[in-house]
Amino acid sequence: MLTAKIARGAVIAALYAVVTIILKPISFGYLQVRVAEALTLLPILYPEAVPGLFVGCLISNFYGGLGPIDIILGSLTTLAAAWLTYVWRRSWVAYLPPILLNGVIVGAYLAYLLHVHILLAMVSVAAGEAIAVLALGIPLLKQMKKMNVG
Amino acid sequence: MAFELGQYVPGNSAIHRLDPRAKLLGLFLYGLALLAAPTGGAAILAGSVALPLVLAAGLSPSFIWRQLRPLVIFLALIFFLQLVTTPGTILMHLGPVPLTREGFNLGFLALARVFFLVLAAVLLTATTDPLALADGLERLLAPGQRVGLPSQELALMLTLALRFVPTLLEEAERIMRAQIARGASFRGLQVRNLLPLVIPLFVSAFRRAEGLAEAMEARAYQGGKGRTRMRELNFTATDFLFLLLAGALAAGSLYYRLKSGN
Repeated sequence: MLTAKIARGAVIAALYAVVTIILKPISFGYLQVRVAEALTLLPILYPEAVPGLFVGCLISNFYGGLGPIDIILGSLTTLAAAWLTYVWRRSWVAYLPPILLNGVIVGAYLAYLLHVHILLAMVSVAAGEAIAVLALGIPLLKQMKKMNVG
Repeated sequence: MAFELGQYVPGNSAIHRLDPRAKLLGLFLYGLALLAAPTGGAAILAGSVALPLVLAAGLSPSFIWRQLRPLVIFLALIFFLQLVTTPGTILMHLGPVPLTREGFNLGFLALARVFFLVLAAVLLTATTDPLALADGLERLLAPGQRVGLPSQELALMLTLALRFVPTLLEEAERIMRAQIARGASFRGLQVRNLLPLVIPLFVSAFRRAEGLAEAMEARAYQGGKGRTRMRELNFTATDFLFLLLAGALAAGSLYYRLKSGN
C-alpha cells in the first residue's frame, strides 16, 4: 500500500471515530443512527476508505460500542460493506451494502444480545443506517465530488 | 464543549501491566462467557468476575459511572421492554400490565450482558495505552499476513488514526465554533446541519494526510518490514494465567448453557 493511501486511510478512520464521538448520544445502541456511517460511501471515491472505515469502526467500537461483539462483528460487517460498496462503486447499488449488511448482521446479534425480535432489530438497524447513508452520505459524496477533495 | 476519545488512565497496577494481547483475548473470552450465559443469574455471576479487576486496576467508581452514564437510559429501556413484553408466570401487576418471572429473567439477562460487556471494554481501554492496544492487535493479526492480510499496514493505519483523533476533534470544535459564529446551528441534530461541519473537517483532514504522506516518504518509510519498536511486548506467566482463567470462565458458561438445554 502506498504511503499516501495509508495516510488517507488513517484520516478516514480518524474522521469516522471523531464523528462517532461528537455525535455519541445518537450513535449507539439498539435504536441507533450512527451518523459516522454516512462515511461508508467513501469507497466510491477512495479505495483506501475500505481499510480506513474498518479501522475507524474498530476504534469507535473499542471506545464506545457494546463490547467485544461489536468490536469483532460490527467492525467486520463495516469492512465487508465497505468492500462491496467499492466493488459496485459505478452503480447506485453501492449505497445498499452498508444498509443491508448492518441491518442483517448487526440486527441479528443485537436481537440475540438483547432478546428482542430479530426482524424488529434488523429493520430498526437498517432504518438507522439508511438515514445516515441516504440523508447524509449521498449529499456528502456529491459535495466531495464537486469540490474534488483529495 | 470538550470531546475526548479515550479514557486511558495511566497506572502501574497488575491489570495495567498485563500484555495487551492477553487483555484483548481475555476481553473476547469474557464476552463469549456473557453471550453463552443462559439466564440472568448466570450472566450476572459470570460478569461479576470483572468487578475485582476494576478494583485492582484502581479505577474509581465515579470514573466508571462517567463512562457508563450514557448507557443508563438505553439499559433501562431494554429492561423495561423485556419486563412488559414477555409472557409467562405472573408475579405482579404494573397497572394493567402483568409482570412475569420470565420477563424479569430476560430483563436481567439483557441488562447484565450489555452492562458487563461495556464494563469490560471500559476496563480494557482504561488500563491499556491506545498505542499498546494497536501493537497488540497488530501482533494478533500477524498470522493473517500469510493469507494476504496487510496486517502491518492496517496496524500503521490504526496507530496513525489514533494519533489523528485528538487533532481532528480539536479541529471539529474549531469548525463548529466558526460556523456557529456565522449563524449555523448544531442543535436538534438535523442531518442537513451536519454538512457544514463535516465537509470542512474532511478538507482539512485530507490536507493533513497529504502532509503526513510527504513526511513519511521524505523519511524513506518503506513499509513495516524490519521496523523496530520502542516497546517490545512480553507475554509472561501472569498473562497465561489470566488467559487460562478467562478461558475457564467461557468454557464454564458454555457448559452450563449446554447442560441447561437453553
